[in-house]
Amino acid sequence: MGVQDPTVVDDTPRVTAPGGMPSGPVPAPVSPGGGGLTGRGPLTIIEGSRRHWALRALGVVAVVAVLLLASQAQAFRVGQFTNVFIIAIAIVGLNLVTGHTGLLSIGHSAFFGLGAYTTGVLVARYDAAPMTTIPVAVVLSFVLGLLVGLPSLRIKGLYLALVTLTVGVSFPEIIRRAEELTGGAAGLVVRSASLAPPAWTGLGRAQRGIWMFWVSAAVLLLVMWLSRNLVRSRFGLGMRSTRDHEIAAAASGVRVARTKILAFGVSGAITGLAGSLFTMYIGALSPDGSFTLLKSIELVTGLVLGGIATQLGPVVGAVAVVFLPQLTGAFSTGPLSGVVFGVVLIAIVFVMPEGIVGRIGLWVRRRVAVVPADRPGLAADTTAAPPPAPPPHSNTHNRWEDQ
Amino acid sequence: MSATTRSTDPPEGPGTTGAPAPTRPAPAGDRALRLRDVTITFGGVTALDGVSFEVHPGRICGLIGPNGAGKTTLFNCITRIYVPSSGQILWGDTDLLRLRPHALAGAGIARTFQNLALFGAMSVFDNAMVGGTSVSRVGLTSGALGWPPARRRQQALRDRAWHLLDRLDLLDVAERPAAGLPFGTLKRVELARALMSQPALLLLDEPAGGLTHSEVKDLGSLITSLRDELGFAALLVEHHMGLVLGISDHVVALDFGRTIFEGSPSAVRDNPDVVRAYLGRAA
Amino acid sequence: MDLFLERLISGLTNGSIYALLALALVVVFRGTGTLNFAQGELALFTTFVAWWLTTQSLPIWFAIAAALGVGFIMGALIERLLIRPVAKRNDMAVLIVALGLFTGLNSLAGLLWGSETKIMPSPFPNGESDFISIGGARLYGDALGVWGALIGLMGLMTLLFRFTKVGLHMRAVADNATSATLAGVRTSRILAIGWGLSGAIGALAGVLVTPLAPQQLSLTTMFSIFIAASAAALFGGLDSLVGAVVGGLVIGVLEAMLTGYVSVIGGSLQQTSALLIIVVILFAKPTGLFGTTKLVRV
Repeated sequence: MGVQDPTVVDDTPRVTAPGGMPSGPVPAPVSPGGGGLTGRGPLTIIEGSRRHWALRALGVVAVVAVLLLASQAQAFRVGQFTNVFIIAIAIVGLNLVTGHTGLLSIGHSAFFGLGAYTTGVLVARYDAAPMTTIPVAVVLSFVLGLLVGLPSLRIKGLYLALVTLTVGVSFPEIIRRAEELTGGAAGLVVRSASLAPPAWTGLGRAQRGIWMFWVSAAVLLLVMWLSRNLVRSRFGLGMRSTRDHEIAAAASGVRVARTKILAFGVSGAITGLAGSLFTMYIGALSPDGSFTLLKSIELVTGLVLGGIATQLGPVVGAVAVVFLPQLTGAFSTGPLSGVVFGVVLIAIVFVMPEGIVGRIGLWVRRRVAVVPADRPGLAADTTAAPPPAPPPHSNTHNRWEDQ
Repeated sequence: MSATTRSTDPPEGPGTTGAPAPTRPAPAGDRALRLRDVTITFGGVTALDGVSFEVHPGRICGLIGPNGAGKTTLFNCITRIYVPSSGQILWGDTDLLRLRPHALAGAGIARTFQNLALFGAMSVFDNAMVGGTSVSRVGLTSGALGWPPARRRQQALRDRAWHLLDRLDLLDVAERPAAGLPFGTLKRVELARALMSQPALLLLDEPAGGLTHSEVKDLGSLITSLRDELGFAALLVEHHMGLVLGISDHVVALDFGRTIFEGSPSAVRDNPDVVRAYLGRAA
Repeated sequence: MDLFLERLISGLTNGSIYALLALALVVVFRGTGTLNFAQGELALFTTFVAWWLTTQSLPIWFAIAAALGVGFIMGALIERLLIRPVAKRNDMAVLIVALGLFTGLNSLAGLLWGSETKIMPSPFPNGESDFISIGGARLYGDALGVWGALIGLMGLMTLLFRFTKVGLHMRAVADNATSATLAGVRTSRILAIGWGLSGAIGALAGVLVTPLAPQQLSLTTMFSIFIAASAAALFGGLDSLVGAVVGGLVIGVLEAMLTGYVSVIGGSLQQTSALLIIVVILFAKPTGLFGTTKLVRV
């Protein structure tokens, strides 16, 4: 330390793909004359360095603190937070296929519903222990995802969205028809005795709420970690390159068909996982309750509002989506929240297409940059190339031009 | 570093810069691209008529011809976008016509695009990394779990990417998204991406398009020096005569889908058939 | 036999509604290259306006005319203010805006006029005895009215596109907007007119469908119509007016026959069938049965 670190930006900052919604955090716009606060550019942190670990530890502590604080709230609030975690998991799933692979899905409610009803039916009809139903729900949703991914090989863009709409809208219909199994339109109730926390936790039936709070939080963190790794991995490169330019991706050796199908599969599996947790949280299912087109729209709204193709966007989006209706409910009944969702969707596209997290990320990257350790030209090397210039000002207007 | 190894190995360890200066030209790969009697018709039009030529290992072959001569069509046949009506295209011993477009990278063939086909939302570094997809062995689950052996394999690829970016003078913009970078820079990014798979054959589709005079000169020297270091063969479809005649070892000229000339760059300029093709016949 | 005819008539009537909305979808697609996902809800909204006017003791024909006008204006405004600024960017942004409109318009209608089902009077003689007999089947006034509306509209559209300057300009813009602009066509105005036209057509579809028993006006009325209309429009490749009309009628008749003769299908599985038709069509021809494939230059 002590040597001036070159100023570089990390974590694959992205800007709108030509022809796409923003595909991730936008690089920090820096004033043309120089950069950052002091003119020397953003503060650099090398991945794996002590500073970096300290920052990460701080993050972990903060998250744990927030969770602990949240868990102390009233039971009703704890329930709301649990719902937020569950929706966030669902949106992380959606983000994989829509944000990172560029395939808009307005039918993800079907995966949510499949996961939910799998757990519901297995627990209510077959007396399965709730936790054991999770793998089943995940596998079934994965398979459905693969199936939905098949059309994406031939069908693109808006047409594919129509196909996903089909899937989403058909799901409640099928549930209603399979009355014997699912309770049909009347719904499915899972006795809370069956949903009690497992014996080894030492918690009783009454503590089901707090149990689900912690389970959902843990699953959310796990899923976020998996998603992050996936996006940064070779498969993630395949996803993102398919989104940005399919032909070039294929020419580079990416197996586009396989990538799309698997992306849908994994995406469906994660959203199905959220559905499974949802059943455990809510205990009663109805096909027209949480598994309709409205749910799909909620998920898309949360994704777009939080920040498409970002890591934290789904969480922020989930908070917004769960609490917005609460806010509007204070003024009037149902329809107002629909109007709010509509307005939010449109406003975001116009005002803040990168989403909340995307916008914050802009601000952060102006000040702090995390650099991969293997980058040549870092301070440690005396023969280093001159420090790269900070990214020039990318003004909002240009970001949106198609090439 | 032994002279018999291709100097594509990135320098050891992170943080070092600059490719090691090649002590002597790298030996060429051993596969040749052979076109035999390639013919393709679209409807009633014969776009290619019995085209035959070879691109030898380690050599740069320039493909020229007036507009409509069939250069792009031929290029698309090689890159497997079109299927020839008859004829053979061999790559070493492999029948290229059996391969699907995405299999080319794995077969040691990489290409650039006439109108630039980059991944705009991804960083320059990531753009390059995509080029290494076919040689990476990291699967879906190991990627998702951050499995250490997978990470190590990925690391070798990352080192190569950094090396190439450094070599192509792209370190400054490595973390910037491709969208919005200057045109000339993007051409080099495409080149970096193509070189990631360590191709034995590089297909360049009008690389000089849109470049200024000095940029074309730089591009020419870049391609030749890369060829000397890395030993690939190249097929260059190009309109810019200066570039083609400047760097090609061998030139093929097409007109109306037929080869009208094949030989050295110095002979092409004065060849009457070529001149006639470009300038038209006297009334 | 008369049962068959009755089903046929019912199918053709419903099919005409699908065809009308499908026409609206095609007009928009030809202008902007995108499917207006909010078309059904826009139609719903304008129909609610018409309904509201009838509750203000205004004559039904006036209400319908007003709805058409509101539909036109709203369509044009939506195109100008919400779609055009975003259409330059990409497909997904436009889809998301459309999604927002979809939710917003539906909820706005519920907010303004309540979510209970409403009775929408029919503009056509609809009484018990207002029918003519054909081969034993009864052809009621509203069926005739709907058919007449469709035929009339098709005639008007043909006249518009073939014989008027606006129509010519619309075809030019649909084919190649840039060249059209360079040739002096006021492209921005044409685009707005296109969407306005489709808003009006959608309004017509809305006011005609709701009086058809058992459909009364509710917030969910137009969604299944929209699905069927999308299937119909896709049938024609989204850029063929004739294909859309044929598709609409075919889907209407198919539905009526299936519902009548196959007892498993009924109610909202009708909707799912239409959706399945969409998927099948897209699988067979990703750009619709009669659509043109887009070529990309690399």
